[in-house]
Amino acid sequence: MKIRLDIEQILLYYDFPEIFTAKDAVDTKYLCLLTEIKNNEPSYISTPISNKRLSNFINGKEDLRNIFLKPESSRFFEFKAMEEDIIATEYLKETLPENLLPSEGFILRDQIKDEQEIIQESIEYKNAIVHLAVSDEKDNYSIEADDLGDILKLYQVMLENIFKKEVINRKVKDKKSTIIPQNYTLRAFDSSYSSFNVHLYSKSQTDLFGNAIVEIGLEKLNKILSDITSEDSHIELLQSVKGHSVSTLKKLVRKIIENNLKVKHKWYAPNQEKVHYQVIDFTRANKLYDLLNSKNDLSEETKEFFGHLVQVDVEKGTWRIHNLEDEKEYSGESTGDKLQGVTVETINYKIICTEQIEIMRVSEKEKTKYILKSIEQEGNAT
Amino acid sequence: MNWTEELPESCPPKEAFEPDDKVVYRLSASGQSIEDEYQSQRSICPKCTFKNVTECLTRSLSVYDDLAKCQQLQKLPRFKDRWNAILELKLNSNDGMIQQTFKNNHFSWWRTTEFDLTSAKVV
Repeated sequence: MKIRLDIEQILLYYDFPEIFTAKDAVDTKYLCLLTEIKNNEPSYISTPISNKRLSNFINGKEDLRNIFLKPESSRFFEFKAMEEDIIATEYLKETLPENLLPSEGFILRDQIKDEQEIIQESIEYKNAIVHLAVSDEKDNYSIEADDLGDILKLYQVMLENIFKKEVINRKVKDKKSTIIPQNYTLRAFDSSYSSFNVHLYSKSQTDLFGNAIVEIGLEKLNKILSDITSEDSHIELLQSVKGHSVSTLKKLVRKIIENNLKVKHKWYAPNQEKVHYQVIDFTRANKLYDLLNSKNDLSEETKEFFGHLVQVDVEKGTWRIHNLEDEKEYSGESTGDKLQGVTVETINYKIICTEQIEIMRVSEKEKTKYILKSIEQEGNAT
Repeated sequence: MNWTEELPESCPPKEAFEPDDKVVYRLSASGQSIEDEYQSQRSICPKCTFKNVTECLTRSLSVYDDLAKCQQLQKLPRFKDRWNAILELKLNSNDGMIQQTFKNNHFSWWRTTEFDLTSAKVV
């Protein structure tokens, strides 16, 4: 019997893929192991494996030798991998000889205790998983629908804004094709006890090594939600995502404080060495809220526009620009004589301004204000 | 840099960096630091292609910056009972460029001809 296998994830690499997962035409998973390289050809042995057993192996709970010594299906397939398209042939013996088996004690990595569920989910979805658990003072595994809805919405908006900032901070190439909803939106697929625990998965793009791009946002978010051990370093952290992310964070912590909620944030992705976990309760939220309010400029960021001015009022200190990048109009304020002598419609300008985000007390809506810092003429408008 | 083998365009990738006294470990079958111990996937298998392994990666050498992780490899069927030695290398900018790939502690090393084989020691 022959089957076609498609490599899913390389779990161990040493000059060659040493251990990897693959799937067949009906999505059965296989664990594949390099056994020897002879006459320039790498030879592999593989066996079907369930998600549960695979997550045990990935989580360091199961010895590699055991998987091949006591396979779940008593079936093996062998192949020589030279091309991406793998055709494996059934190995006709029920047990493997010693030379095809690993020695006892090969553990993929140190075990992450009590986190089987989230690891297994990340294997199933092949991407990052988030568990967001919300509880109130009743702490009885239920939650007001409004509170749950608000927390989920604020969390998603915050992840989106932090992700976008991190793509820029880390100078990720192909910014445009990276900042797309697929890479930062999460989808709920399950819930469980432990407060009201919503399970979400990401469909973000993954790189060569199996890292999901959403991880850069989740990593930063996790640090921001962590306990404040040094105010200075936490402010530095917040400065790196200042603007919309911080204003959404303010809303989130205020929600937690006002409703006395507790939010447990847990996430994991296939290549992570550990499950990341933070609990934001009333006390932590208060500390964070005080810190956020101690620095006004955290809700500010610098914004650049390029295009022609549509309207200018020097006396009132107001302006409106048609921004060529997104073909939208933006209006703002100015102080001093910065607008003196500027021309509308016919000349293109580069405007650098401070973007201030204010949260309206009652509606909680954000109001964005642009304050002109500098204006430079950049040629005629066409 | 004079690479030990021809590299494709944009290889090493921009994420790779020049090591500075970086201590790494590599398995050895002979127990000696000889040229045979530094063969890339491409030099061993000119036609191998694996999904998610770029041509650039096939021309690099795997090294670990953690001795215990490198020792773990000796339990795999391809290495057990044969690759009994481990070489310790201290890499510098003359020796090439490295990039952390696949897992923590695993690095891909694009080697230059300046790398001195005798600088490695068996641990």
